[in-house]
Amino acid sequence: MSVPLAVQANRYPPGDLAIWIFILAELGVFAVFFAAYAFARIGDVALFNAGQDTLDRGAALLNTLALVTGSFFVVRAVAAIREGDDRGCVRWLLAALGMGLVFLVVKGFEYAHHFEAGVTLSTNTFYMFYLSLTFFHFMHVILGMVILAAVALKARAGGYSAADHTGVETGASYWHMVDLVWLILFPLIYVMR
Amino acid sequence: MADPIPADLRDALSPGATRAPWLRPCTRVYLVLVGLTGVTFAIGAAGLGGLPLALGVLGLALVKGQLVGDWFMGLRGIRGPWRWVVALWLLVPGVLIGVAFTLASS
Repeated sequence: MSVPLAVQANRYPPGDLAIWIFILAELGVFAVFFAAYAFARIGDVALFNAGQDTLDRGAALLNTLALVTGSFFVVRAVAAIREGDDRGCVRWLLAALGMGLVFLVVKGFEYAHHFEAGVTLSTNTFYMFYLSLTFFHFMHVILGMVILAAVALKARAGGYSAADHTGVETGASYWHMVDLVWLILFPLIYVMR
Repeated sequence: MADPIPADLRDALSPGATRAPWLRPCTRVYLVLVGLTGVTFAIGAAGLGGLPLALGVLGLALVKGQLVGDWFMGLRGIRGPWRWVVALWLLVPGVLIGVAFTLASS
């Protein structure tokens, strides 16, 4: 007996299934990173707390709001294309790209501040984790922006419709993954002590 | 025959009217995420620490992650194993981080 198409579709997340395999792999790597940070912290809690005090929580707040807002804009882009509004979809995607840019600029200023202070990967264990974890995430934000830009270009050319918009959902899923990772990274590195 | 009800009034009375941008569920979820982010930041800015608070902040992060998975990534309406992929991902590092912070405080 064949399964109705609607039921089949409901068994899989939005977007191309391949991106979800990729997302799972990425999430797995970040999970290992997070656990490694938390267990390394046991060895020298004072060092990690002192390192945390040198970070700019205001910048981290701004970046969290930028990513959450960008994710919300991407949700609206998907909703727009589902309603057949491809111009609206493009506008929301461009707004999300703007939020990604805000994140990169703020994070860039943070890095510049630390590098000016002479901080490197080998300064201590805390900074090794801070720099490698946040830069790894930073690269994912850039990749997410490239994907969103490609989706926006195709949407602008009329490449998606209410009936066919898997590409928009695929790009959206990746962007939400970038947001999801930061939602754990932010409290873990900047707040929890 | 012309429709006796003006188009704008018909739109306002239709079920679709509840889908106005500021009332969409995703907008409400977004506002909750912003609120929880503010709480997390306030705890950090106040320099508060200790195991209960650290675990509380971790709990807030897990709730935020689940909201993103359910409402933004669209997993809420999925049946089968993919429904729980984000929840499982949050659980594994969440438990490990919680255990590590508990060990660090003892």
